[in-house]
Amino acid sequence: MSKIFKIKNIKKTKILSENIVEFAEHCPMDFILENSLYFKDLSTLVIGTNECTFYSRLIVKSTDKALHYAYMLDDRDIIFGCNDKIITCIKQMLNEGAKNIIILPTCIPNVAGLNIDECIEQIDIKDDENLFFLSIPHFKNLSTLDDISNYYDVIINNYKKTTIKKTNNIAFYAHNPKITCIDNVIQFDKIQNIKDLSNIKECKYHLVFSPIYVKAIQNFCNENDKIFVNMSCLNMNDIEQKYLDTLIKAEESLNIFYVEKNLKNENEVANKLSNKNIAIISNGADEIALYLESLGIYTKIICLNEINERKKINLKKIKNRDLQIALKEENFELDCDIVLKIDFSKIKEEICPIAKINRLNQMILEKI
Amino acid sequence: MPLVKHTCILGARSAIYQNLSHIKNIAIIDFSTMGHHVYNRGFLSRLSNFDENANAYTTHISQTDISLGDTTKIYKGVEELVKKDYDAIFIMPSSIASVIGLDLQSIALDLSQIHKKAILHVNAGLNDDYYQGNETFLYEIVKNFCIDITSQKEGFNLLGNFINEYNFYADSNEIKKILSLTSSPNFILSDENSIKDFQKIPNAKINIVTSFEALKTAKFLEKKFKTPYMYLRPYGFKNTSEALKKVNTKQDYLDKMHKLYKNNLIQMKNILLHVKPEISVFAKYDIAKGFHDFFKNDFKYDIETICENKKQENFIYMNYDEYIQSHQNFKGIIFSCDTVLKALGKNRAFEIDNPTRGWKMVNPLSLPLVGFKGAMNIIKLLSDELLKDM
Repeated sequence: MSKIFKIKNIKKTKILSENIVEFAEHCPMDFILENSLYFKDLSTLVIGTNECTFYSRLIVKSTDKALHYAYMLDDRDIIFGCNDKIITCIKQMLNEGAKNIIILPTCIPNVAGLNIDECIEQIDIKDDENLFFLSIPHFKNLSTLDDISNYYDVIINNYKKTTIKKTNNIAFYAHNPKITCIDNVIQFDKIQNIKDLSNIKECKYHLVFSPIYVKAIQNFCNENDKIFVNMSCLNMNDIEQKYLDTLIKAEESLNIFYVEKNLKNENEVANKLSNKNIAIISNGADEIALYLESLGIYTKIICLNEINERKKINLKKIKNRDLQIALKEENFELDCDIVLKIDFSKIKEEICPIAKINRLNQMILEKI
Repeated sequence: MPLVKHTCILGARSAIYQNLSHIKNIAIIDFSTMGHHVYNRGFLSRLSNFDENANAYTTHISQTDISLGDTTKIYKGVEELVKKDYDAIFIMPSSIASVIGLDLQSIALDLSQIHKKAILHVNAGLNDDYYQGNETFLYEIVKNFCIDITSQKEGFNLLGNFINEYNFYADSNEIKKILSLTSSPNFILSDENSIKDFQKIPNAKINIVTSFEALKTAKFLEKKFKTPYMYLRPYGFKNTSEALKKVNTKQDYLDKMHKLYKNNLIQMKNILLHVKPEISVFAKYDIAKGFHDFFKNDFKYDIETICENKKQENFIYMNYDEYIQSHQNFKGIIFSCDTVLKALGKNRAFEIDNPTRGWKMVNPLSLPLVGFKGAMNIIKLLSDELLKDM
């Protein structure tokens, strides 16, 4: 069985720089505002100096559903505090129709120690309104992935709690989704309204294709949920790889699977079965043969209990024209090197395709 | 309410950054977070095509630097820059330094004594807007580098049309062109200058001020070098003619121009009398005043003029959000910045001011808004809009 890990803490990656830098890194505000545009009904309130106010207006533009405002701090606000004014501003935004507001204090409020999170507690909001708070100073030497991780954590986990019924749905987290044909999949990037985030929380299975979502998912998942972190299909850059390594090297957990480890299982299966005559005895022998073919291993004989329409389609997909198909075990001689007797119902128990493959790999390795 | 929805006036720090990055062979160093640097740096390409030559650096400021007041990075950073042999090094004002009370002025003084080099700091407060930034930039440069008159006084200086003004290239070139009929240019602020060019400023016979931000510097030069100054930003025919008369342009040229544009002026006047459009101008002081005088003197037509910068007498002040809010149902023509025109769904050809949200191709060959050519350009835009349904 592949190793299972739990994330207890995340190692902070320092910004490496010389004494002077000509082309500098973007600040967290930039990334957070760009990410906030994915939700069509998420309003933003940036609190900062003139630079933050002016340049953030170039990134976001108010729409009917989302209001994007900035609060420009002046000398007096920094010396005497400005919580009352900020409360008035948030109330004004709520009156203008903003339902979900994320409040983003930048560097100066953090340096000056303005307790802006206290403002949120003093505002009475209606049932359909949400206030989120995320502090985004740029001097804390966090990597951008940390900032975006925190953003998704705040948005997903601070969204008003309602009773959640767990379903067998799969939540799929990626910016460029590659799996679109599976039933009961809820794609995170297709969620455009904050209220639809509850659909994600209802899912039992979470397929994560980017490490930025892991922190958020871990915070709302329970022991029965399963999280699959798969970075194998993405072209990761160095920072992402390092970030993921820190996630993986953390302590063991019961509900996080790192799918790249499963690839090692796949390789092991492929190595052990290569150049061997294989027979598969299982009700799902057609699907197992197809899977093995994807690893470059051709099956000699498959034995099925019955043949239905779906199995016929699967059998047509198998490229190996020398394949022998039998309906019952006793009808043919098993002159094969390896006979895989697999109880397919155990694999069917798994809903998530990655979990299915994981279980199948384990069962094959046990049989060899 | 300091709540900003559409846009706001840039701060003094950004204005100083933009102007300094325009000067050849000097370096600017920002002891602040990388974010401020990256936004300022990225915005340069929206203003002019000189951004590639900008020697702008940042040291980045970390949590430890803030909490312990550590300034080692700025000392090491300047040390690196000194090796690159720039004419001068400017330490940028920063909002974080202002809040934590870091004395960048004394650090600059200390560093200039250590390295025996011009290392300066241009100070700007947290609340200062970009007009104050432009004013401070020019004043500080002139104060520090214009020491003495180096040759016989001749020609004129064109102080104004800062790099962060809309259409600064074309406007500056047009004014330079019409003034060159009587005198030769000594120093043009909108050109790509070096510190040596700035040092030539006291050698001019007269300072022509085209932006109100340069008035402080002109007054300083008048006091120190006894160079007289003249404030002009000629929008329209009459204003341009009067300005040219003041600088002793020959009457023949003015008559020739009058003959050339006379018919267009009468036509435009008739169109305005016939259509009677509501016209509103929302821009910085120079432009708002220029347009007000243009319509009043050339067409005897009243227009609404609102200023985007404070402290200007005789003009109503509004910020961008207030103007957009109050002109939601305005049916007439608006001359303003890109952001306002976009927010109000107006024709974006009537852009006369910054700030802009979109990217613009800035080049010296674009049509000016000042001078005779500029007046003709505005008249054409206006007549096209007013007669589009006829």
